[in-house]
Amino acid sequence: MKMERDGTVWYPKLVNWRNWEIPRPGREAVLGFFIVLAVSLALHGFVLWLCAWFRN
Amino acid sequence: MFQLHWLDLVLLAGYFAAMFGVGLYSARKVSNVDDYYMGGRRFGKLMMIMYAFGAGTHADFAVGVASQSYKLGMAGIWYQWLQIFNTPFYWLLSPVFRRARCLTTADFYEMRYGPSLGILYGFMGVVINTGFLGVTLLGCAKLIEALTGGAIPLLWSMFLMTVAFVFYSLIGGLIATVWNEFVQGLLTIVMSFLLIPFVWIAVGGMAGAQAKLPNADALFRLIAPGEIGLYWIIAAAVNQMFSVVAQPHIMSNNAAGRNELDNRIGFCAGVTLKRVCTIAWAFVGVLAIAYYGPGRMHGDHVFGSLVRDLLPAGFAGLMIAAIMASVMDNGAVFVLTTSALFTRNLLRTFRKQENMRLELLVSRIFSLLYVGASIALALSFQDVPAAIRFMWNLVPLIGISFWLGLWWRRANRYGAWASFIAASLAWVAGLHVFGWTGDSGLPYLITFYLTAGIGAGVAVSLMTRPEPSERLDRFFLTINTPIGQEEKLAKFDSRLETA
Repeated sequence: MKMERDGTVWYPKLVNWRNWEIPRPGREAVLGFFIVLAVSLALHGFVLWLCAWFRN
Repeated sequence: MFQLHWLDLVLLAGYFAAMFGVGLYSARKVSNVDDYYMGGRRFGKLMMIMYAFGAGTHADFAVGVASQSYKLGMAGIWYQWLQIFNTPFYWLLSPVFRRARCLTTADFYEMRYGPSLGILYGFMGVVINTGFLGVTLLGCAKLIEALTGGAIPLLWSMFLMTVAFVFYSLIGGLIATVWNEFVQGLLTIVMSFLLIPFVWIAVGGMAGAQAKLPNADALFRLIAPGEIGLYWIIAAAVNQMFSVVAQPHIMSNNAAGRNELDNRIGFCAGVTLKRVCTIAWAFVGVLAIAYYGPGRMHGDHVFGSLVRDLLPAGFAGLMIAAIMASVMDNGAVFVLTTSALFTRNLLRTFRKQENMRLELLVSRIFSLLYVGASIALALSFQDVPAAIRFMWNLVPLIGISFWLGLWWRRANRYGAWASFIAASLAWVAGLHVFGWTGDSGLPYLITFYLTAGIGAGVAVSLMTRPEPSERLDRFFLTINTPIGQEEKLAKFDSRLETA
């Protein structure tokens, strides 16, 4: 975020579009996101496998 | 007694004695409002996982998923499986709630949009929690009714559960509740999976299940043609993102931990654990088709009937204890968050002088009124899946403005009001004018009210005066500043004063 009156940058934004305020994620945020995504996909894969196993 | 074995009754009594002991012990640690609502923000990872799991896992979910799976096959799993796609985004979202430094979600709306939105959310939060408690009570009462073969009627079990959780929340606040979530969470996980081997043996294993299921190939697919398809799944998953941010208890779910990492791990792991249990509920629901035969019983009674018919003596008591525990802690969380909303965001609007002791007393009296309204609502619901769908539609109406305000500076209070009104009208029109009801109408209904809400929010915000830039700068800086870096906020404030 950039303060309009003195131009100070308080935190970096993900996109530079004027009215958008999505902050750039830090290392913990990115790493955690992909770990949680991997766990979610693994669980979903397990359910798909379970269903396929019963169908056969 | 109540069609239960003496061992069931002993286990039930022992469990309740232990939980009330924890409640009384926790009461000694409550000295102020922050202790009461946020547990002093001192819970670690494990407690936060169980808190998120317990608060997000009601017994009615097991009833609802098993009920739909008994009707539709494994596709019924989507009634709780949706968040599997959203959980990674919760990791990113969790710090926003903690950094906001708010006690309630209404405080968040007020900070972003001003007092009128704080009041609107205050009212909506109370309505949402009344619905959540109503659905929870209905689901659990149906389960107990099935477990006892109707010996404990619906109204009686609701009354007993209410006495338990009101007592629990009134004496101990969030500290007692989180401890209860911990024990209940463990019990729910065990009980969710315990049923599987018993049903598996009863239906004759794989060969028996495949022989007794009328159409195993269709029942073990994750879509049910005409009911739950790809459009349904995508629409409901997107809807869930608008719903999760507007659920009143999410604030304490994400802010009561010791630090951001504890909150993130607690929330995401708790939500994921719930998904793991969902697999068991859906699987048991499908196997019930093989055990009882298709359409032989009311879907809401499937889960409880299997426990009663298949588990040995003592397990039914343990299951009732798990259900009661689930209601106790969920009821307590709902009571706590609702009384916080009422006291802080509605009562203070009319009474400006702060008096902490009086606030605590009023919030406890209000809790009793709120519980009465929830029981009345629970009795008006007839079917658990229908009640769950009702809540899916109700919560996002106010969640649209949360996302607009979080990402888009131009969103203002007029746009927030417009998005809420337009989405509400679209919801009513979708149900009563276009007839989008049940599973088949759900994706159309969701698309309609989300589009109307977002469209009206954006259009009205662009046509009206923006929020003052100082207010917006302070808001965005606050939600991007971790707890412990308050000097950054102080520096900003001092610059604002000198400007």
